[in-house]
Amino acid sequence: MRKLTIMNRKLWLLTMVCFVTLRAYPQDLASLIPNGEKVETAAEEQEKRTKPLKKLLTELQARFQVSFNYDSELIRHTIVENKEVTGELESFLNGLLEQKELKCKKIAAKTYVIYPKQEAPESKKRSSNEGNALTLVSSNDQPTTLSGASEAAPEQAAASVKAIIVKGQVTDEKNEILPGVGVVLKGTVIGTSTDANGNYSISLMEGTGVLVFSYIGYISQEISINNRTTIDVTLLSDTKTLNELVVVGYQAQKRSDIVGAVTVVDTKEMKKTQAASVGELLQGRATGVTVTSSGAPGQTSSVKIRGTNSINGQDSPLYVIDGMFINDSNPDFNPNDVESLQVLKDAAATALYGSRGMNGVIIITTKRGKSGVPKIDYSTYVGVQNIAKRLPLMNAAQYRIVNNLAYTNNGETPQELTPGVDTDWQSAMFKQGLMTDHNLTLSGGSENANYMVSGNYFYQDGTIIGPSFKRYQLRMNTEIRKGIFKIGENIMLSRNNTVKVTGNPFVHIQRMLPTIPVYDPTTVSGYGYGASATLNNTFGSNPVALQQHYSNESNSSKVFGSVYVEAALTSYLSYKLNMGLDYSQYHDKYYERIGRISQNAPDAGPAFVNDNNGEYFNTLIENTLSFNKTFGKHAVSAFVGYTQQKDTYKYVNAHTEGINGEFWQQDYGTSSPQTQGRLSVRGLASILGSFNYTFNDKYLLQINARRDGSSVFREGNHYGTFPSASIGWRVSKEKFMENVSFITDLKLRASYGQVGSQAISPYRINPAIDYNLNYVLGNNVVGGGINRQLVNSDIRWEKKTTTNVGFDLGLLGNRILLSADYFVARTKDLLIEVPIPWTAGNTGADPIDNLASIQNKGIEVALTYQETKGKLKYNITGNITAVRNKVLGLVQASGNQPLYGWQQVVRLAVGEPISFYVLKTDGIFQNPTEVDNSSQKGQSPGDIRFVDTHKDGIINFDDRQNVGTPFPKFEYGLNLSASYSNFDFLVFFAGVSGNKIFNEGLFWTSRYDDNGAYRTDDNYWTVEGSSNTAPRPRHGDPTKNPVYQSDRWIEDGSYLRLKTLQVGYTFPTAFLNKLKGIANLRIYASAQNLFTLTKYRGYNPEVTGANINTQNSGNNSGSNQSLNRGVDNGNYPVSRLVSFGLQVGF
Amino acid sequence: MKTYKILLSLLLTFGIITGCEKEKDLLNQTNPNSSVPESFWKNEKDAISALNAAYSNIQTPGITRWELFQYDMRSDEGYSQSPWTDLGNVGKFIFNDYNIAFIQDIWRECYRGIFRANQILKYVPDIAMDPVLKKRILAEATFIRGHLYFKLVTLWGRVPLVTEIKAPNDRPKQGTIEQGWAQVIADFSAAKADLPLQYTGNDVGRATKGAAMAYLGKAYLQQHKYTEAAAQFKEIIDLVPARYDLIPNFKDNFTEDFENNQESIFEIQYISQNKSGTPSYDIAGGSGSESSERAQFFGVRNVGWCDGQVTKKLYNEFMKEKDKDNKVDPRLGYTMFYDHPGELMYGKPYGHADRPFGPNDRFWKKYTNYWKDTDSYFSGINDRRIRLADVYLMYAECLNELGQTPQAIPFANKVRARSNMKDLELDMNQSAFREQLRHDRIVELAGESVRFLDMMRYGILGPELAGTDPGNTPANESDYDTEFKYFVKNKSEYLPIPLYELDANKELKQNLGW
Repeated sequence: MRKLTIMNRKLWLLTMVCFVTLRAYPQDLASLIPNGEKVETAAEEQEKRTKPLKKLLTELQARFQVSFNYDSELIRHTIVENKEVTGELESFLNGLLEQKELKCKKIAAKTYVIYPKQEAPESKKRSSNEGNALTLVSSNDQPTTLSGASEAAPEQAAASVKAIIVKGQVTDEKNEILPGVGVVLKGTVIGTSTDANGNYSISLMEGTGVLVFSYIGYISQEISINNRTTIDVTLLSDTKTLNELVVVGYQAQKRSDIVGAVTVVDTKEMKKTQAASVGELLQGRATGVTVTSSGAPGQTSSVKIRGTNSINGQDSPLYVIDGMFINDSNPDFNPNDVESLQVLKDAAATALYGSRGMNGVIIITTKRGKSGVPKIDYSTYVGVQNIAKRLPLMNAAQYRIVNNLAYTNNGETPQELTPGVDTDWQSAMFKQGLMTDHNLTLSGGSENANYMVSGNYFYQDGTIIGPSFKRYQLRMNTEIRKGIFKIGENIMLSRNNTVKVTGNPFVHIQRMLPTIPVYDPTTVSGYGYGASATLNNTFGSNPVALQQHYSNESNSSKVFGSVYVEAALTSYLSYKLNMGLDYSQYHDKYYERIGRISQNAPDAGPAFVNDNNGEYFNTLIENTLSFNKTFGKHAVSAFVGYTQQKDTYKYVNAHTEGINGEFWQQDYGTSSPQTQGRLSVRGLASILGSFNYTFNDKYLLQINARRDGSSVFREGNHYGTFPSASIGWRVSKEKFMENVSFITDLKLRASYGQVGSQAISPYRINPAIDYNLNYVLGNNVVGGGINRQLVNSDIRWEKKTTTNVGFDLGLLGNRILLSADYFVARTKDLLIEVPIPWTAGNTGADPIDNLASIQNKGIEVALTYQETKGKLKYNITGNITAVRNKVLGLVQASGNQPLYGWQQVVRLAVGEPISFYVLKTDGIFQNPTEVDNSSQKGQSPGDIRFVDTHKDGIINFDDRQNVGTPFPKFEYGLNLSASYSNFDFLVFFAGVSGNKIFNEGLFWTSRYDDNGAYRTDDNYWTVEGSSNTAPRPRHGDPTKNPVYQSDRWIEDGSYLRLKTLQVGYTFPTAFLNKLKGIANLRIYASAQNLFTLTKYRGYNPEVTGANINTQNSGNNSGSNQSLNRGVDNGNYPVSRLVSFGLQVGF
Repeated sequence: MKTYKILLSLLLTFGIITGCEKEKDLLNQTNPNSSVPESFWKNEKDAISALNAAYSNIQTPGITRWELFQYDMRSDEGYSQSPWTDLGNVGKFIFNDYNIAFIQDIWRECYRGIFRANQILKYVPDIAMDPVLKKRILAEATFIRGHLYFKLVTLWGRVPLVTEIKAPNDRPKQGTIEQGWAQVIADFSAAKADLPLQYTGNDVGRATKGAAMAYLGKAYLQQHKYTEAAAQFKEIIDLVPARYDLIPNFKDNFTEDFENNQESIFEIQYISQNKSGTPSYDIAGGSGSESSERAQFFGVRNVGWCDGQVTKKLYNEFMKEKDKDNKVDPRLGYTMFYDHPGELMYGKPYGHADRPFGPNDRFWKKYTNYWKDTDSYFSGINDRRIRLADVYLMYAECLNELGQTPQAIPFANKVRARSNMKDLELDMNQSAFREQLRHDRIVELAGESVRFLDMMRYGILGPELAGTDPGNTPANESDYDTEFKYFVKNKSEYLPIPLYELDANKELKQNLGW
């Protein structure tokens, strides 16, 4: 008795394909085959030489992507000789079957029938008797000539006119068409297979009998013909979809064998959202994944997995696209090409990526061609997008009243505000933007090769004046198999053209006054701006001019992909060489025309142009050796590899001034040419290994380890070793579960492991001598050079240890799927630019130090309910993630002293989560008595009462306190999809709750001491009892009312958003048959971000974090992104998109 | 079969070859963009280069642009109508954001310069080079450090004293004001010992012995140590006329001509150099201007930013005393633009469409390029930080406070005489001369960043300087600097320490009242 399993089927497949011809490995091909069937035992040797036919067929199905149709009873006891495949499959099998009274016949491109020998003559006889009744018509070959069997095949030249034709379409439960499905009249060799559009057509003698539809990974269906001529069929996934192979690292695993915290994202649902980048599509689709997007065209979304683990700016996950690494969800990549996407979250799952996998790994496999006739698919959508929200900003008349009041409240003469001007800066700035996507895919292949070529054009126009993004992209994925070799490549070429957002328009909209005109012919630039201290005074920049008077463009080109060669050394051992390349080049061009657009700039500033050219050349070379073998109930796979990565980046910037006219080239500069340039190289060398063991398909063990050497650390600190282990128990496979019928599948998982990070830029450990620190002596400029930037040379690998426990549960035939994980991740020796006192004299980024530790604890739950009732099919999937972070320790050398982020409003302190740390307000002083009873004697009614935390009678910055965290307590997504007949629907909600946002826009509109726009909903104080939220407006306010580090600007960031609403219609086959050439057609209408429920008063509660320096302070402490979290200093809001799309296959 | 074996071995070989850049080489990447300290500090050239970099730091706009606001706008000479509310608030002693540029930048840039000086003091002693030059370089570095600590101590009072290179995680303790002054005194004393009296050619502009003595005297004076201060000033005065002397024309002290003249004791050096849209003096990588931004920030409205103007009180001060010819003090016309016949501001008179100013609008003229059509961020005028006239007046103050009034008066007269002012009678009593000297210092040195320190030394800072009026009349119309209405005693004398710094260094306590 043997139960044969294999941990890693895909790997086996990859290996085995190399055995197609010539080389015969007599030993145990059979033992490698995943097969739950029990087979008769025989003597060891005999077993080596023979194998059950059924098992062989299963192997061949998987290996050659073909289907076999047979009667299980018929072949149940058939044992065949164990031989390596030679020549054509059909003749090879007929050779094996000769003595078994069976025959094999290829009836269509990828479809074979196994039938009893005696039946064939009968059929033949019948056919000869009745004049070629046995018609084998493959609709692939003859899609239109359904009655003209004479053209089908030579041997059926004389087609019977009596033949009836049954046709139809085969789809899966998601209404996706299924090509290559075998369709056979039961008990005969009469059959065909579906074409690229899932259509079949079979010519039969009579309208009785049973058609058998079979396809790998799906449950075969038998349907009585009952004289029907159209039979559409929906095949249901094999309940063993758990056998689906999932790429989870260097190897693929059966879904059922996964023991790490891995989310397999439903890419079909995901792709129903329209966006430029994959990151954006991921929002709300996977537990533990936080995505915040920006509405700026071509902008990369921020993706975080399981909270903030690393602080030093690089806490985004690693993307592994077809085996090549990239560090962001760059919009270079066309999301249409995604075939599958997995998110690896715990250390066990990411261990093989070592240092690169610290922040989680997103594995993307792009589409590949499938054997069969060439397929052409085209999809497109076109939509319009808008910024949904308008801030309630005052018009000129309202503004005048409040601004005058602000001046009078300070004893000043009100400033002049231009009469007759009433600019609505939001209307001036916002516009409708077009978004469109065209995607054409050609794919196909044969048994020994496949290809996929896709072309994409994506265009997104901004929702404000100015920005846009264009992408032209071409992908080629091919693979050929020859002998023991498999050679392939995945190459992407892309060209992007971006017009960037210049400056910070969403803040400047809130700083411009309604009494300033957009265009002003009296200024040098032609744009309106704050005129002077006494006329329309503001330091805001004209946001329209920022986009029009300045130009900010970027072109980039990219070659991204890998070439690989795989050799199957033996049946259980294969070697792979993978060479990856990420080459990109960019040219940023920025120019300013003459004339200022804000009060705070020189008018005389010359027109200038900057040309910045840069190049990334990142290579990856991997040598890996895989082992895969099953010994009885023991399945073992192992894997070792040696890899090297080298990232090279260089740039040259050129600047010139005094451009006359619209000649934005360096050659046209007349003064001050300047250049800059730099080169940086990073190296990483790694040894990696993995060991997987499965006993009896029930008990799973996985051990991974990786040793990384990184050039960013000094010699002696180069290396870090990161091990992990995980175990799984498939409880549902146990005997005692056999009677628990409602539990279809239950797996318990646990893992423990460590990963590391080296995510700092090169050369941060060695102090450098900086030159060009010049002075004037003897009336000449003299050069100087000295060390300016402090470094900490003794930094080490950052290490994150994760413990993860979870389970996957399938109930009632997997109609209900529940998956849950609990994790504790502790990061220690966190690499961070620790804000050091300025007394140290450092210039540039602060030195990096290894921080003590941060802990993230969380729970992730995903629940799915799916049901089919007649024509109605629906699926409800909900997921929720709760992560809590806590600082366990900080820099010990400085006594765990708290660290502060963005403008000293974000704080890390031991024992607390990363929090906003500001002065807390406690209403407004209503009358002099309240002032006298407070710690703020000398204030006036209408001023803010701050909480005197220290109760020392003084309000100062020592009274700051923790007022909440920028991290959501819960993040959730709810997806409802349904189809009825040919219609399909999708509703997708996503949201977060429990977080705070620092609304810097509010600071500008409501500080009143400095002139900005005002909000109509600010409800400022005028007389006793008029307001307890906003103080009296006072220009030049000398009190603490306008203080930046105050909870006045901090708001609840919770939101619930209808992300996607979609209705689609798939045209029925019958209709399409009339439109010659179109195999399938779906149209849909979709709306994104239709509504948002939130209390947040800024444009958009989806805040990526502060990224633009503000006028308010030249503080350079903003480089630690996680210390800027939740700060909205003008984030570009996501758009509301309404679009119509079309998907068509030929 | 054979073919495959060959292919396979080729593949393995190729794979291993391509996979194997020598790991050691791959992991030991050296920075190709700059040299490292180990290869620096080797010779005289390196020492000079480092020293130039330290000088570069006393010229940085983060200090030189903003200190004008802290010293001159906070005094009763200046006030602000800046459209930038926060900047306009400086002279009103209002700081809502302790990290605001004009606080943060000065603090940070001073310590950056101190770091550079400390590097020189640490590494240059080990360089094998001409011992005389080595001593001078070390003395210059010490001078630069003293110069920066002088700013820190006068602006913040209690500051950390960093005199050597520390690890990044060092959290220095706060010094007392006394310790701060002691550091300043120590640095200038040490510098004085090894600095030469004079430079020639391409070294003109470096710190001299005289500069160290002048600063040393100034530091003593600020602590009311008149004897010690007088001794230093006397040493300088003893060099008149061989080394120092007043130059004939007062106005020549504030132009691009006559830089580093006989009267000048220490200057921040600039040249007019329009090198970029936004000037930055200290950028590694090629760009950078070596110009002064003063004219742009204080320049007449419609020419510069006009972020700081002249109080009516300062104007009144000039009106107190007529010259020998019974004319207005001639220094007035070179100190400020004010509405009077013949006044041209960059070629255009009051009331011109481009100069729509009234009699109450007065602007700084000192250190501007007023004879040109316009001004910019790229003024080449050196900033005379200490000149002989100042030394004369400080010496006079020392002698007067030491009870030697008759000996003091002639030094004031030297300064007055140059500007055609009548000689003071030698029989003035101590307190009358004290008052007179205060006046003389204002009219001679207005806008040269001495007044706020003078007021502090005199002990006259207080809200009463806003006048009897509730302080609501603008400073350009009142006879008082009405901005003083916001002055809080025992608070406003010093600036708040940047919040960033307090958060980064728990050893520090915020200044009183902030």
